[in-house]
Amino acid sequence: MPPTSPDFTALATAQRVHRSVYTDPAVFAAEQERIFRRAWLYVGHESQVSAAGDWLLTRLGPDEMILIRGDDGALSLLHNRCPHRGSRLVSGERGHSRHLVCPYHAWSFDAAGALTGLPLPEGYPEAYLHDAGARNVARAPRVQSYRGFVFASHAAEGPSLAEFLQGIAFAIDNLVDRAPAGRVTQVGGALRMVYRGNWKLFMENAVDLVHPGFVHASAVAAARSDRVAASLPGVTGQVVQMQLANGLRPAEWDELSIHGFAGGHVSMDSFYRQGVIAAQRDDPVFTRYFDALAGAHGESRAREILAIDRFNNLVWPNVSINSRFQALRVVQPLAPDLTQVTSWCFALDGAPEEMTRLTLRFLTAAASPASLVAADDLEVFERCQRGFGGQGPEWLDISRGALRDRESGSHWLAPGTSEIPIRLQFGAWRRWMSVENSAAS
Amino acid sequence: MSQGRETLNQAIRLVEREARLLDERRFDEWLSLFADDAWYWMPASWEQRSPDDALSLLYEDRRLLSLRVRRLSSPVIHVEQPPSRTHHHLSALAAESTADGGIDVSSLQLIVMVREADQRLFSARCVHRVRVNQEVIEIVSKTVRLLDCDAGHRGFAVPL
Repeated sequence: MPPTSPDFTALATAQRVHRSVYTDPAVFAAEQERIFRRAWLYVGHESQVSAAGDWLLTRLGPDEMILIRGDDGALSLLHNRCPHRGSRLVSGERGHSRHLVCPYHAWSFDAAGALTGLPLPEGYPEAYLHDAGARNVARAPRVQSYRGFVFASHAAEGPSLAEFLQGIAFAIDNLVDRAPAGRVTQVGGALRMVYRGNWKLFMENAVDLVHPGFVHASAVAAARSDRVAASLPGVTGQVVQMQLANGLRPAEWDELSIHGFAGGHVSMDSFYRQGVIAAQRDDPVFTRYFDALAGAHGESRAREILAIDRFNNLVWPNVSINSRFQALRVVQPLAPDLTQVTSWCFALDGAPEEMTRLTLRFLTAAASPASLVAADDLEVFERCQRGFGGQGPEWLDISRGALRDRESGSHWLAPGTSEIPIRLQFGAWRRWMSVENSAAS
Repeated sequence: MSQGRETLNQAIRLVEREARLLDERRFDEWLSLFADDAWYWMPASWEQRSPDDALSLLYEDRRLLSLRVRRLSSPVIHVEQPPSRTHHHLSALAAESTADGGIDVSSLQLIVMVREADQRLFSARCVHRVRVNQEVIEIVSKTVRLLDCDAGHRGFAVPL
């Protein structure tokens, strides 16, 4: 972005945002350059590429990338693009190959992206082929794993991953700490949902604790009309409990705390209090799990790990982690009015098999486009997006609960019904979108 | 025990009726075709062999299906306001006896969904497991394998 490019920061204040932040292609393009080509973004989990030669097709902002493990164990994140004629090098979700060979003219590359062979090398001057910058596959300059979760940035410079995750790293810690073996493994494929709305709508809604009673009213009512279902053992009871929990009263939502951080990250307390989805359980599977965790860490540390009972943990700009339910969602902006959300599930290494099955079922019920819950969220995102168009009011209010926000250091604490998550996310948005900041990087 | 031709035809007619009830939004009657121990499964990946080892688009027992159906009659089910319309186009229907005395009805279904003049297409290979017991014929399971099961889908609330 040239320094003369437009300043978008006036479009979001602490009280309101202009509707164009959700609709304007120029804002979207600037977001892609200034946020998604610079910030640290989640690109995959180490267990998805555990052996040398394993690769996974992923995205880093707008770009399709290959996450691949080399013979030395190192991870590289390569643009899925041959430096010769631009063809995609691989297709499909994942694979295994020691060399990446372009389908077009068979230029081949090692896992670090270095050119290892091509037909007719004599057709080029010797020095030409040794120009690594031009002849190798382009790679993300910064790739780093945080306890198995791989993040990357298109920017060679900027805040370190640790600085970037300030405040929210505990959500990853808590997910990994919950595994008796101290390691988690991605399992069970992925769920993908799409909506015709801006990417920010999903992130804002994930910690909006006023909407559930209204958006999910039909599921709450249906669950309430079946007095037996909620107490059924196993998954069915769990799914029904999930619906019932969305029907908490506003005062109950308010009792939950929202924790916010300067980087735009937000974490909310959990609100599941009954049955197998509650934090404290009394069933044989949980007992076996607790014994395994206590065996690894000691009983008091195990209790400490399980006492962290948060629901959605948002890693700005586009990830939502649920440590308790071993899930991670990635929000991928595709266009100003088109977004894909991919949900992944993790098994706790060393925990009973049944827990993985339970979490797979939980995520199936919560994150499928056919979910009793998510389908209505997606509908509301699309209604918002359509509402932003036309000649209606230009500004959208985000001030609910601002009078009660409490800040200490770079950590905010607010009651559950506050719109502080939206305010903090736009705070980060403003900083990354500012011309000054983008020119500096 | 292998089923007679007439019973196999009965099973095929049951699957046709099931599709028809969905298209006519007669969801309570639709639900009544399913046995008490029935389940409905829509895999989320092409290779998926079991609903227990991976995420699914839908995996619901009859209890959850009844919750889904009850929700469909709510005035505040936003994703169904206005209601969606569907056509289930059935082809390649084939019934065969299973080793345990049931019947598997396989079909190709092209499901066209319209809501607010917006049309969506779902192509699926469906397998209905049907149980015949004395006079009672019921669906024990329905598997809906979407051709684009692993694509990103927009929200929907009606069973396909």
